[in-house]
Amino acid sequence: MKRKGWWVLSLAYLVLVVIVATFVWPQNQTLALVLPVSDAILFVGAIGCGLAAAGIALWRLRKERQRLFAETHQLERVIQEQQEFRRTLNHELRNLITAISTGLEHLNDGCDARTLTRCKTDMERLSKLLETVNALGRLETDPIEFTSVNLDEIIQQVLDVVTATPAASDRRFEVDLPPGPFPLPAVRGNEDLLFIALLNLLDNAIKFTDKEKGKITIRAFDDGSTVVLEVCDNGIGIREEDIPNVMKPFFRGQDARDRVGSGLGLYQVRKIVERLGGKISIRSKVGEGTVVPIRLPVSNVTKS
Amino acid sequence: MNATAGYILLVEDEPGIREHLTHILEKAGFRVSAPADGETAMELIKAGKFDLILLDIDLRKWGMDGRLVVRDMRYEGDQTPVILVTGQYLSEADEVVGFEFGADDYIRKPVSGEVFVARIRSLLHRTEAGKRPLARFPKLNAGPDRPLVLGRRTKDAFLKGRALHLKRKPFELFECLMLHPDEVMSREEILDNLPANWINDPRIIDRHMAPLRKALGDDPKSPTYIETVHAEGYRFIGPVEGEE
Repeated sequence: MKRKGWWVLSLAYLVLVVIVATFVWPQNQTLALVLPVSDAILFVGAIGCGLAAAGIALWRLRKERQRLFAETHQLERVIQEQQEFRRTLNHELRNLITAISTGLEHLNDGCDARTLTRCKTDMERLSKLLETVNALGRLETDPIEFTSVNLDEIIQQVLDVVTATPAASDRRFEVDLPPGPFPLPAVRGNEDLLFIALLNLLDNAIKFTDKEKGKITIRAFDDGSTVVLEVCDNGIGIREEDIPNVMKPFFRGQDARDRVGSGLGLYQVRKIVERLGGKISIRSKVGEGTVVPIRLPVSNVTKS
Repeated sequence: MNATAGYILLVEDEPGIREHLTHILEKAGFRVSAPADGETAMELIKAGKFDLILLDIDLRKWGMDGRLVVRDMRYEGDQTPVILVTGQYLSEADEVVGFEFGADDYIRKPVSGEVFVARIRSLLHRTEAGKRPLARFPKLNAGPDRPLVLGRRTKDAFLKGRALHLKRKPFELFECLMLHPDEVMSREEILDNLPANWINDPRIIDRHMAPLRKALGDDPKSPTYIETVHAEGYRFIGPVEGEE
């Protein structure tokens, strides 16, 4: 509304100036009768104001154009990412289907328990892949209920689930939260989604740490307007050249290829964080470990 | 092989799935009728001689919708147990509607033959001797001396007369488990029976299981109500009775 008002005003002013300049002033100098200034000054003033108005209008137009450019660029990036996703998904599906169909052909020559098991695992992977892709799609389109979330509760719930699994049994888990007088503020988010995101990060941390020496720290602190939630591990780390790609769908780091996984875990975390209006990054050193910090907006609703 | 395991009507428009399922079900000892077109399927449903109907939700090749078929059946007073087989890519709105149409169980494709047979067996078991399926009762009760009451319409639960004050999701989880007593349900199977606004990640079940157990005062190590079956899922310890 505000923007439109400006346009109408500057346009109306320009029209007025043109009318005054072309009809009123040269013919009978009516304005001089009404106002005690010389026509020349009046004319120059009017033209000046008109130019200023036009200038403002142009400046706004430029800003608008810049905004549109940025938006288009953003959209292009989204489209590009989706195309890339589709291509890779297509490739993954093809691979699995090829594996299954060759397995079935092999079975045609006679039943063989190993091939049968192999086919079954591939089938399960295919089915799991479809589920994840479906979940990712829904993550983009389903409405989300935003609430005030106490991260300390979510951290505890995730730890309860994770430590109950045999894979986690030997790792050491540490939780580092701000102490007593200044507790962690609630964040604006969705409990279920944050639970899944943190669970995925812990899965990764477990997957890439050593059984006995593995230490995983969940840290959270705030800087007034955002809360940072970090999962740190002392695992195998990620190679520098792989770091820019680890958040991309289906990407698997060079050192991760011999471990099970779809390559969608971290991508899903990124999608969740983005949908919740947060930011995610990753830092890692080969042989030393990885830190994944997530920034989430502080909730402006105080939770009782 | 037991020839009297049950007479099943398989309504599925995809010939490949129809063939395989018929084979699996027959191998499991069921008598199967699998019509090859929509009209025959509708006639067979109307004739009503089946112990259970396996109904695909998305019968677009036949121009039919499984949910509407169940709704019409229930409207006409047909109480045959129905398992709705859902696809992967229904939108949220679609699925929510499905839950209100009166099916007794939901299985999501793709699924293994074993799971299919197990789910059919337990539904048949729950409805044997003309017993009304639990999904058709507004209230459920369970536990020794029936101290646990769940109101499905009123969305409340009581233990020894004391209200449990469950949040929405733990309540839905509780209801789903109570509707499948003595059945080991994987997290995926549980999710298939929950409304579509649940996040499509099986591990979210664990998050909502914790407050449910806490409210029930149930110790996971020696449970009275909900048992964790390692590497498989959860089981609600029956029996569960329906109540008006």
